[in-house]
Amino acid sequence: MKARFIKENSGLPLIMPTLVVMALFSVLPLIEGFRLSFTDSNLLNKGEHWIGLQSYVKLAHDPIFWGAFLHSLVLTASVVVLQLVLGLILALALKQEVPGIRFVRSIIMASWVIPVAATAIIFQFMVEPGYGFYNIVLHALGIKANNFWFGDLQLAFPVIILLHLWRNVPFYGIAFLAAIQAIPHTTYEAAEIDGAGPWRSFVHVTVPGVRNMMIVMVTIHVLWTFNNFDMVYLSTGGGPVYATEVLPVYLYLQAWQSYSVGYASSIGVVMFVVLMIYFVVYIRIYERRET
Amino acid sequence: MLVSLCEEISKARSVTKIMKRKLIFGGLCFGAALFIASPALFATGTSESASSSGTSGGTLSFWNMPFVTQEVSPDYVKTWLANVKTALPGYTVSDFFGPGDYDPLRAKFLIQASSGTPDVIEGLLEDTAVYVQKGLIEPLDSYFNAWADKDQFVQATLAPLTIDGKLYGIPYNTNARGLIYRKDVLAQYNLPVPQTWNDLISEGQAITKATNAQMYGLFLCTKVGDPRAPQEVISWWFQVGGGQPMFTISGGTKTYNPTIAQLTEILTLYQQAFAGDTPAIDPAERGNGWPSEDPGYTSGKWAMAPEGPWLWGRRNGDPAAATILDNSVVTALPIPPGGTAGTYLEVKPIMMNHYSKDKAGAWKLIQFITSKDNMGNWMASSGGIPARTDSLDLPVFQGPLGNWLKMFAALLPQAHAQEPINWGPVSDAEMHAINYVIYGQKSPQDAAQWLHDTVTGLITAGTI
Repeated sequence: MKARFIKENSGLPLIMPTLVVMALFSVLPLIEGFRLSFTDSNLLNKGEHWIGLQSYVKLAHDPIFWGAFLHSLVLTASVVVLQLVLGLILALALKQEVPGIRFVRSIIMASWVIPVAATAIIFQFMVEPGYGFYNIVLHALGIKANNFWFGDLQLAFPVIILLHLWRNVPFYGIAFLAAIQAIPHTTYEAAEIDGAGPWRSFVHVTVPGVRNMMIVMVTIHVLWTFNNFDMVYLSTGGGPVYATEVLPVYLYLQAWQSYSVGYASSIGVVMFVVLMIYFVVYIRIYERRET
Repeated sequence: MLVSLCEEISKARSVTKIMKRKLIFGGLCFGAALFIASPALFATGTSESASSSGTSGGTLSFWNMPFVTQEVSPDYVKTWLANVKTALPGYTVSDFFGPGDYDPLRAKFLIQASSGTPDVIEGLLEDTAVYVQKGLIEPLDSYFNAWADKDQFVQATLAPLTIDGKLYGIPYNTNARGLIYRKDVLAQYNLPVPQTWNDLISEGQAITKATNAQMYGLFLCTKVGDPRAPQEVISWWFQVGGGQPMFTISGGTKTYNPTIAQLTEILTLYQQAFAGDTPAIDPAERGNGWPSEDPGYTSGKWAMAPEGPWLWGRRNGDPAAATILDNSVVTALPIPPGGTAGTYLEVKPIMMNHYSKDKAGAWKLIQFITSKDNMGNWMASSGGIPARTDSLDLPVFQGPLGNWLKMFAALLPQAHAQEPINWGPVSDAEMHAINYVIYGQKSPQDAAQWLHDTVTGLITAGTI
């Protein structure tokens, strides 16, 4: 009996250190976050009280929260889809053996390597009126524009999307390129023999070949984009008015400006639940397709 | 592939009992080693304060923003570190000065102050109130009153750091906000120095018109999250409100003093600044903040702006900016009809961690930081006004820099400090109200109502 128990659980001690670390740094903060969301915890006040669902009721009636929620969903959906499409196009372009392509491949990841804070500052300068890069380019193209783009109600949000694309599309491109290069060349030759043109080869050979990579990229980037705080906070702070407010920024402001940790935790719990729903649905669809 | 993997797993399961025991033993040893090592790993963050325990010497830490962001020169910091060694024999002052920005500085201190690190912290005036409310900083009255230098400090800078009758910080940096204007531009277009808000707007529009928008008349910060924008708002409030504080604090109860009409008046100023065919402020600068305000002025993009003495630093290595600043004068901010002269008083304190393991050492460090020479040289390096009168006697304050600072120092008598509350959410609400107005989302009156409701709501919720 004892020998069998040891035999069946011999791997447990090996994974125990990892489980302990995960419990300490992932599970406990998560549980604490859930607990805090049911309290009126505020860093400025001593003690905290159990308030049940009051924070969630307040969220339901908070127009800034709903605006931020909508912005987060739109930002995540648009950024992930655009990154996917543009990344695939970039990968196909990088695959071509043309002069200088090796150099391009080696520097293409620069935007991803630059720290987000530096990226946000670069964009701050690029969208400035007068000497900003975008306004200069538009002016050269004969388009009369001289806006502070982050201060424009209509343009601030698209520029945030642009910022995400500028940073992440090369990452997608390199990842997809690696996946494309792993597709055996003979598969393309077979498709060609069967009469497939470039488009059909792309649809029936390339896309299935990079499908697993797409799943990985979409999964992690939905998570990253939905939870992304620094790009918006450093670029616009959520303004002008509330045009670029997203959930992580709203959560941060509640926690570190108002010090309302309880309310901020309830926003965090909502974000967690939304992402969990997404992953459950996504994995179900994926598993169904696999079977 | 999967089948072969299963076979491999099957093989692995058939290893001898000895092998298994070794694996189990190894795993347990690793787990035990991690468990034993964990206190040491987690304790690294507090090693500084642990080593500073004891009364005769040790390690002291001083978190501040300017040393990290190079608001003062790296050479100054190097000299400072060398001098502190001599001034505090037996002590080692850490050359880690904290995260380098006020937001994370405050956040980290709120979380980790009870560990005893840092021993001494620099911050904004509004941080003091937050720390006092949490009991994280030490009252300094007994130390300060026993200090021979105490009479050298400007009384107006000590008052805002006194909360509930106790002094919680030693001021090191002060300034009053004034209107900087281009005397050459005003002379060129025969415009007098603006005295009222109406003058400010009309003359701003006149400059924009006269230069065909090559130069705009004015700049005001309007960016959400910009630290300087709410400081400009509070200046307008002191004028509209006759110098009374924005909040009255009595027995733990806070009252928001501005009326809807007064807030409407302030918001109308912002609306008018962006209004018209030749607006006083460049409409393209809507929603922009200090990163544009300062270089914009010193590059000649606008002729007037509320500014502080830090603008002096823009002269360095930029002859064009130096020429513009040579052609500039600082005067009192214009006032609204029926208003009184008033402006924002900036005071930056040096505070002692209540949980410092060596308070005597921490006080010695504060004395060093706020001594005549060190405060004076720090301010000379960063373009601030020292909070000690004797520091201004240093040779470094003679000449052009001294004249520059005197223009701001002359405004100190009309300057008011902010009340000790958590200003973050109030500032955020103010900037959103201004955004509502300048983007045409709400009328000044509606935005004022919204602002009033929001701030009173914050009081009710205990957020500020």
